[in-house]
Amino acid sequence: MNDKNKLIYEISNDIRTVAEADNFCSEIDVILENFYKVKNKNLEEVLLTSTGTSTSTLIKKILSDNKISLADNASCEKILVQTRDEIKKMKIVKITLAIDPSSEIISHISEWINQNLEANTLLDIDKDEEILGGAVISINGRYKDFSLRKSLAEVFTKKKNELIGSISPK
Amino acid sequence: MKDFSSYLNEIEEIGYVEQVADAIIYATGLPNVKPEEIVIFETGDFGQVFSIEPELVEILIFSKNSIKPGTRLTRTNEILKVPVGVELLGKVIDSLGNSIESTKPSKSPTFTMPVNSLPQGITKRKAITKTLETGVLIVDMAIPLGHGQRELIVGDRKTGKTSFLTRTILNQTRHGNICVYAAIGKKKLDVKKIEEFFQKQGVMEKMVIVASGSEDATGLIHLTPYTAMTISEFFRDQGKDVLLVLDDLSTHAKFYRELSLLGRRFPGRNSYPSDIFYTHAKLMERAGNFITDKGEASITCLPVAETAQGDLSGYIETNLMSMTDGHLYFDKDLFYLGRRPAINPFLSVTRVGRQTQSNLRREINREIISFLNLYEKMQSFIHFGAELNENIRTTLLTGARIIQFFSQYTNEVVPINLQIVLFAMLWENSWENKELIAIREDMQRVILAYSSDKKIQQLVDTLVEQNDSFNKLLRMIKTQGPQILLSAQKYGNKT
Repeated sequence: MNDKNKLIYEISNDIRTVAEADNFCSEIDVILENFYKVKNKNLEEVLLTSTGTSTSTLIKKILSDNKISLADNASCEKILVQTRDEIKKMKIVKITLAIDPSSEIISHISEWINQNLEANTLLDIDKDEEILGGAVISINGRYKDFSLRKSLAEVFTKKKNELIGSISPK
Repeated sequence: MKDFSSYLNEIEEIGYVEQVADAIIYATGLPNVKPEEIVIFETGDFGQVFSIEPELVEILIFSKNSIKPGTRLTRTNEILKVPVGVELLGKVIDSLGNSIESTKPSKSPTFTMPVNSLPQGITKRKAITKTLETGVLIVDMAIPLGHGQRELIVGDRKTGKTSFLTRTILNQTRHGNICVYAAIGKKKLDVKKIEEFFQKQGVMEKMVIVASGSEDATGLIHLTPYTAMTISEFFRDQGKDVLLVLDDLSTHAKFYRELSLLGRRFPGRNSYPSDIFYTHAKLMERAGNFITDKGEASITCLPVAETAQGDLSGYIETNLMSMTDGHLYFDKDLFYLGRRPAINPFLSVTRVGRQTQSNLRREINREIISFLNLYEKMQSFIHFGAELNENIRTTLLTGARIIQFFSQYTNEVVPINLQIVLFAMLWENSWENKELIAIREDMQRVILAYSSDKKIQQLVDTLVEQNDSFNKLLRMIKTQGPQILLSAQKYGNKT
């Protein structure tokens, strides 16, 4: 596993959706800006004042995994820029559900997709009650409708044809 | 066509609009999309794949509706086809085959044909042997055309190009041939005028107008000549001789340039894309004389190109000249001199038209061309005035008469046999010592008599059919000419 893949692997458990990725990237931008706003400010201070706890924890984790000291501003900046760029390159899986998924469901779906479809992906979750249940997934231009609406429509069509076949004169 | 969801569920490929550049849309996704495939947007609009890049698909859209980034689209696994059939006759349609006159209920053909088809191969083609009668004296006699010929109509704006084309269409429809008129990026008012003219002349039932307005989507304008050619091909396959007018390809080239620049193609000469020659040549190559299942049939193509300030060396004009079988040049100087039609016979070319002529017509053609050359040279002596000798004066007088002979009223059509007889009468000096105006009036009477009097028509036709050389005809005209003039006297002036 090269450095970039390792970096993505580290964050993929914590950043699962496009919304989370956008949020994380914008917080990285704030941190990077703050490096220049105040002289001699170290990252510890910046994290404390300008980011949320979860982001702060994740960044510290990335830095420790890459053996970078919080006091080494240049290395910190480099790894943060690299992280942001890698996130932006991550593939997006669009998924439509009939419900608002809980965090647990999101984790479950993310894990399933990373294991079965494609690793290191972000979920773009959409809600559409009209699909009734199941999910509609699109990844890399491929589209699969696993919704309850489609299944029911197929059942209804089949039954309708059977019914028409049974009553039509032979 | 089915709707977006049906195609999405059937093909199971999705794309998302990333960037919109007027008529060109860039989208991601659609992993198995093919060049020229039709794609459908969730808004119901559809477009054609223009090119495929590693990350993006470039799509040419056929509507003016705004499509926003993020809009979903899917493949259809179909190429662009337009409905074709005899139902189209008498209709004005857009580039997608939809009737433009929404007020009239119309039945759309069920049979469709691909818009971008490959030209027929050499084994399906035949040499051009049939004369195409335009009804325009100078063309039929000096620069003749044949069925299946591709002849460029080139000239400045407002020099009578459209007038010539409408006259040719009129003559061809009266001969029972099918005409397809493609108005490319024209004003709606102009299209309406053309339609009304043909309706008034009662020939609309033999023709189809494919029109795109300047305010239409660029994609639609670009498509117009291809749709017109596809419709022509349908009628050709029915064994008909088709006359296709593409008015005009300079405008088409400009719209194609717009699309190519939007599509980030590298600009070449005059900013036109490097494949502009290929684009037009591929289209021109679809015309010609063909062997079909229903016998010999042709597509005669008359593309129009507009010059600026009489400059024949423009990029598009020279391109078109090199891919057609000749050109008719409408000279603005001749137009200002009052010559109608203002066709310059010295700068016009016909590469295959002469091979379709009978011996008699070929002889007349040779006489006309050599005499016009002589007349052109003699005109330099005009400023000597009274010092001109008898020979020069006679040549100048005959020249003036021939030029007058070639002048025609707008939309006046002269049948080919009558053209020959009238010219023979002029050449034989049947109107000796008569003023030009009087000659003109006599000719009008003969034209009217030919169309009204069966006897005169028969006499003229027999004269042409029985004589295979110009000299023989001239001998006959000596006796028959005055008789024709006398019979035509009772027909009033048609001015």
